[in-house]
Amino acid sequence: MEKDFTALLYQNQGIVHKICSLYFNNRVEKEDYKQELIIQLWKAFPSFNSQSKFSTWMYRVCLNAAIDILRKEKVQPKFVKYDTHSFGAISDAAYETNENQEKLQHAINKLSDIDKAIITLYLDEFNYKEIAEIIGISESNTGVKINRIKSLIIKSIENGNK
Amino acid sequence: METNELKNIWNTLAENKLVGKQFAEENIKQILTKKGKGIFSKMRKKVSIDYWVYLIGLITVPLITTVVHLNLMKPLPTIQAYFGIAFVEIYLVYMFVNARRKLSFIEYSNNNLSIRKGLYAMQEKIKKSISLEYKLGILFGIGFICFTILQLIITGGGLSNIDFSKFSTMTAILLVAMLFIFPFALKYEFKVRFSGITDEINKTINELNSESE
Repeated sequence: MEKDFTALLYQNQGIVHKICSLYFNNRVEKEDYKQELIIQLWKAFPSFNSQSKFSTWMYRVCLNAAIDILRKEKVQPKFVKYDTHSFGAISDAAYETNENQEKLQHAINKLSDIDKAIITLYLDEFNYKEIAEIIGISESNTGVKINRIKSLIIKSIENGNK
Repeated sequence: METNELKNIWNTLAENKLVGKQFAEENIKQILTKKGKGIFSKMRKKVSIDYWVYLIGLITVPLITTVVHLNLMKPLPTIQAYFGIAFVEIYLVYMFVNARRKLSFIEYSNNNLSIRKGLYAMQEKIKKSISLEYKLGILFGIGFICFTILQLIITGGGLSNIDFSKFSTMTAILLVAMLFIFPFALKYEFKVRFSGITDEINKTINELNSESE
């Protein structure tokens, strides 16, 4: 079982990294929580029903855990200022891409925990049905929420996160 | 800006900044052997300790009482002397069952339910827990105060011999006053203890329920 779990987690570990980066911005905290989420996933693994995709199940457990942690510890995610120096000399096009990434991250960081979860799933190519299942809302409600969050993010990026 | 453009930015952001350095399979295996130091591990550990403490208490209290009473106390104490032990045993049974339930709830709510259902389950659990703990608190608190008042009156020579200059009488009066204050004080304590978490859960549930058709 451990072998199966390790292999599945290795393939899908991006989910843990993404959730920790979006929900816990402090570097030390982020590393601790990555481990915590992996342990949580391991403990939950016997309940994994192979009828659903591993990534869907993994997102559900990780998001539940992240939201629970934030509620319990009242950790307020803080936006970590993007460090342009670490990229050295970059072209204008690359600069614009990086700037957009920073703006997108900033826009997502400003969202509530639930909206953050919904948009992360949407951007990671989950369909409405899967998002609705993970969050526990109807598909139509998911659609409404996604449209609202998307508009908010696009507006925020276009206005330069003002 | 188009949705596809947004997804492209997201993919680059995820790849460059959010995911960063990946774990090797060996690292994952290593993490699995650790006990963890985050909130869930601490909570699981705390509840597990509570579980074992209450279970050991549940077994040892009557065992020690029986051994001590049968071997050292002759003649055996009156039946009233066992009320206290009965109180302790009932309390331990409740706390033991509670710890067991908490342990399964920690695993169940996070692993098997959607975020919304998990929140409802948590809300329900807190409501039930508050209601039951309040009732038990009232029962034990008032029971204990009444029992103490009764003992003070009996040792003071009964109701006909009440002497207000005596310390025991003053204590009994103070305890009568406490009988009236106790339910309110307990309610206030519960409000302070749970309001933060219940407000937070209600806020998230309201957010999830909004925008539905």
